[in-house]
Amino acid sequence: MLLQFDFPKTFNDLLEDTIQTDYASSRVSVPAMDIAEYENEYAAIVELPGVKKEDVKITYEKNVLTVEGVRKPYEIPQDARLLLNEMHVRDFSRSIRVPVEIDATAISAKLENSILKVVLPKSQEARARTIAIK
Amino acid sequence: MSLIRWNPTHEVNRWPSDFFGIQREIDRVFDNFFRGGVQADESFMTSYWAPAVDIAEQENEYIVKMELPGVNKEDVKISLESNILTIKGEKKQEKEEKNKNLHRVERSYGSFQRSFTLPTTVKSDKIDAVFMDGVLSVSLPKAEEAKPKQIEVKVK
Repeated sequence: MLLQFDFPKTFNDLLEDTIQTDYASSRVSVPAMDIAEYENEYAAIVELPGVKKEDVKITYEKNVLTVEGVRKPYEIPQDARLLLNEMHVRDFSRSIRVPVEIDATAISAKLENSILKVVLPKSQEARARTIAIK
Repeated sequence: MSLIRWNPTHEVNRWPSDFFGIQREIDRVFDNFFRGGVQADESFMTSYWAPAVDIAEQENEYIVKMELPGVNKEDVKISLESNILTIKGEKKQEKEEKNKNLHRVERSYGSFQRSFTLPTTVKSDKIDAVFMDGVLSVSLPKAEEAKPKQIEVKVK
């Protein structure tokens, strides 16, 4: 698709190397992600079909959450012939910049039924508070 | 080979379907927490989505694999009718929690259905399905008459 050739440049211009995922080469796939905000935390929900827990790596550095890993190909006998091939069985990587301070030591993650949920608790300073009027 | 990808929106909604595809692609690339604009096409996305499928043919069987992350086993229905394999079901959205604010919705929810015409007859009573790590795997053994046969030619 022609559009994709224009993505990396624009992308880098805007975010300046904050997110290093190489979308241009398509060596990695970009899993779908939902972001929800709760009163005291954020949750990043990532779809990882066919991925094992031990093959996922989650890092949080300088306000950037990165979920990356390996999706191992399923076993297929040598004599098999692929009639249809739509799945993207390759490494995946997804980075997202978090705009508020997170309590990095309290980040937790759970992979269940191929849905990864990363919970990022807001730091005390970033939590909403009600201010009383004197 | 007669594999047909079933797509009900193809004729009616061809343009919107492509349009939102690009929109989503752009959203993905410009990764930023607070991107708005998801609300507008959310209803469209929930109405229909097509999970990715791999189909492999072996000497004795077909293997159909479908990516169904977040779908419950009990919400998937597999049927076979005159060589047409249909896999359909529903991906339910997690129950709405209190004080939840969605900043980004890329995952698809709602009903899905895909049908495939198998090139040869299969043993409908021997179809087997396994659901693991969000991938559904259906094996369909070929009927005896559909298996390749070796015919010996005697040279006189």
